[in-house]
Amino acid sequence: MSAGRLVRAAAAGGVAGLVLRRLGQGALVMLAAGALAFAISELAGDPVAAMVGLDASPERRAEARIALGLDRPALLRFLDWAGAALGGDLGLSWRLRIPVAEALAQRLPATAELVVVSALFAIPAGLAAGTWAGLRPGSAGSRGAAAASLLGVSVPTFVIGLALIQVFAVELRWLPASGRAGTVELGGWRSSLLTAQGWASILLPALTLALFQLPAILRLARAETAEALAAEHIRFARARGLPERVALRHALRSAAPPVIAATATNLGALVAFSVITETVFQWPGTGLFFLQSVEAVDAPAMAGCLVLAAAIFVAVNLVADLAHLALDPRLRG
Amino acid sequence: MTPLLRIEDLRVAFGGRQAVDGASLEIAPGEILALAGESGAGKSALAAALLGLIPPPGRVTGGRILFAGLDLATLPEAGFRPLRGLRIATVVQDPSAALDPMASIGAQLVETLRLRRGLARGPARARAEALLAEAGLPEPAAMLSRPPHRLSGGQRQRAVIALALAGDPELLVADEPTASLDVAGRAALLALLRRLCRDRGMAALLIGHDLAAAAACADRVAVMQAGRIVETGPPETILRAPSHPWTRAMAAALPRLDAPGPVARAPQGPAVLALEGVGLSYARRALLRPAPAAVLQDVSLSLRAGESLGLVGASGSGKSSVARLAAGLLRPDVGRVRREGTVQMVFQDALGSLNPRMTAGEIVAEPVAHLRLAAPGAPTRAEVARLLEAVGLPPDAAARRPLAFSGGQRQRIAIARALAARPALLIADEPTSALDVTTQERVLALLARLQAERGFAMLFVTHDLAVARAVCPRLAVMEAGRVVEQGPAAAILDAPRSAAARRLVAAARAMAPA
Repeated sequence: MSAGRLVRAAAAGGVAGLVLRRLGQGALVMLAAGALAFAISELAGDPVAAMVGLDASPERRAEARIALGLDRPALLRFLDWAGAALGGDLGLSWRLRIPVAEALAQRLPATAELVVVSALFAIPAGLAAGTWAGLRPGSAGSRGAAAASLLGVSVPTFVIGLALIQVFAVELRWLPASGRAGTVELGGWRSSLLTAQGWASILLPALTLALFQLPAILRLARAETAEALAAEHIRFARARGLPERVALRHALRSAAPPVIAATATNLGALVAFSVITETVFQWPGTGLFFLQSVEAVDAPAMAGCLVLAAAIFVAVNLVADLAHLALDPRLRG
Repeated sequence: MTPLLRIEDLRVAFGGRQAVDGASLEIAPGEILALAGESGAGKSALAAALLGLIPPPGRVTGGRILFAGLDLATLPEAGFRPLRGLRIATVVQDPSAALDPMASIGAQLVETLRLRRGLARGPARARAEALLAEAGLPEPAAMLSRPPHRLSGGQRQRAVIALALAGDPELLVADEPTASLDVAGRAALLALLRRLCRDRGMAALLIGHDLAAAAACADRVAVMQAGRIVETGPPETILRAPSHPWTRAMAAALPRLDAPGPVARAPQGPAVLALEGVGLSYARRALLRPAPAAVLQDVSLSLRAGESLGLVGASGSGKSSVARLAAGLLRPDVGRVRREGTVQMVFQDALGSLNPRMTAGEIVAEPVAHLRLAAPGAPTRAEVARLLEAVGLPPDAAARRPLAFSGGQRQRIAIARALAARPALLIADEPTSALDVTTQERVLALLARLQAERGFAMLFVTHDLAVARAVCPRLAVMEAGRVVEQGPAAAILDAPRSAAARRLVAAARAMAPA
């Protein structure tokens, strides 16, 4: 075996090892999130009272406990619950009287579309503005962008949302203030991206989420670009007479991995927790469902939201790690 | 012969600071000129001016740089483009930072050859391989596909040289090209540069703070001080009969192999450090990872109170691992490490070892306060002032932060902090290898004096035999994770028994003032 092939084989082993480690860590995170979710469903509310009423006799309550399986040890019940959850059964929502998994599946498309549309606004704009500002860190425009983005990072989402509603829905009456209208069912996926009415209703919440993400992306892209551009290897590239555009390409390649990783992780967080935006706009996604479940002390639904959020976090982080691995040879050993 | 490059009364200013202040020099075609001087003398600013790459806010404020019928001092940016890489190339100080970490060596070479020499992909690849071979890299074909982090420090510097040669320049400007290498690596790299210049008829401006190294491979030496060239001449003259007082001081500061080293005092008292059959590997239990080779094998050393031991060896021989084990920062996999009393460390990177947000006074006060070492009743402040004075820092140093100090002064702060804990053993890991020779000499003298006054034992780690010789009566030579030779410094220098010791002595002699 030549030395070159040996190096490649070793690198391949390193990658497989890294992916396996990440998968193992993901499983641990899911186990911890599952335990937390189970603990919440144990502590929130009283399923026995819900079943037989608060004024039931002790005998009746004991029967209900046995019927619900609550007399068995907590660990066994957790294993049962985890096994069912692995099979996609997150229990029955106390509030809606339908399976939690079904309720989440109905609401996931709304959230997913909201996040994707907001990312389509925020990521290109944030990357472009951040890179532009990073290429000329001392300029007035760059300093202005940095200051404005600091303001943007500090303004809470609900303020942005309410301001957009005030301007575009109340004053100008261009767009609806809330709800998700104009949806079309397509193979079990209810989409609002196929009608003009649907787009009208998604624009304001998506813009709100985009304005929440954009400043962070801009700031990170600006900082990473400026740092990459100051690197010694860029100076050396210029000293070799390489054209400025090539030097910039080298700089952007170094700047890309951390920006991609942070942006991807941020997207995962949005899918999991667009709670505030969805509440402000009464957008029927998983975030609004979570809040409604908390208000109704719907323990299985809350637990289901938590498990879904953890699963999305783990998956998105794994994808971000793989992207980082593909981009940066230093991680490949 | 008309000179290839002629610098007349050059001035470069950074804001109000005049980095180059009326420097003049000439380089003939094919000539190797060494530009020596302390850090801050203006050498790098002068080199940057040759390529029109002075970092802002610096700019040329006067004088001329005549090259190829052009005056580079007034040349606009567009005028530099045909020169950079093709007529004047540069090799930078830190090869690890000079290569794009995200691209393979081959990709970087091929890109440069295609853009600057107009080669097609296939010929560019063949030329890239030839350049790597010319720069002395083993297995050039395999090197092409490797990313920089898979190369050793010396290999990276050779890859940087290959990139610099890609445009077949007439003048190579090398700014401290050996700063990151050990003594053997330095000698090999300077020999390579000399051979390349001879083979290609290429001139070189070789910048360095090491006068001896400069003299060993240059045709002529120019000495720079405070922005001016104070002396120029053949290497023998500069080393043996320097005319400028500053050059004389610098030549005298060179650590010499033949200098009488410190006399070994009769070791007293108990051992403060004993390593017994220590083995170490950085293996971690992990899936699908090949078992790494042992870093240390069967290392045994001991130090008594007040004794100093020089631990010498090439890069990667395991010296720093021994230092970390001795300090308790690592645990051995096999064998035993016994310590008596407090152990303190001084690191190579003084700036990196000091918190930039703390003042020198706070840095030194921390161990005094936390280890409750100040005499009862004596305020910490007084103890800090005594320590700063002991390491030769001015009284107002306590209020300033690390960035406000020079490299040598930072190392003094680090030494004061170590002394604050009243160590029984001081471990110094390459404490002077980032410093220029005159500063190095002062720091070494300081360590020797403090040791004599305070009686701590010292484990002095260095790749430089001459430096070890200057502070340690006894040496231990390491190679590939083992101690291959131990004994009095004089005996090892006069009659090295192991191959590793012989190589170190030969490298040190090649670099030493003749």
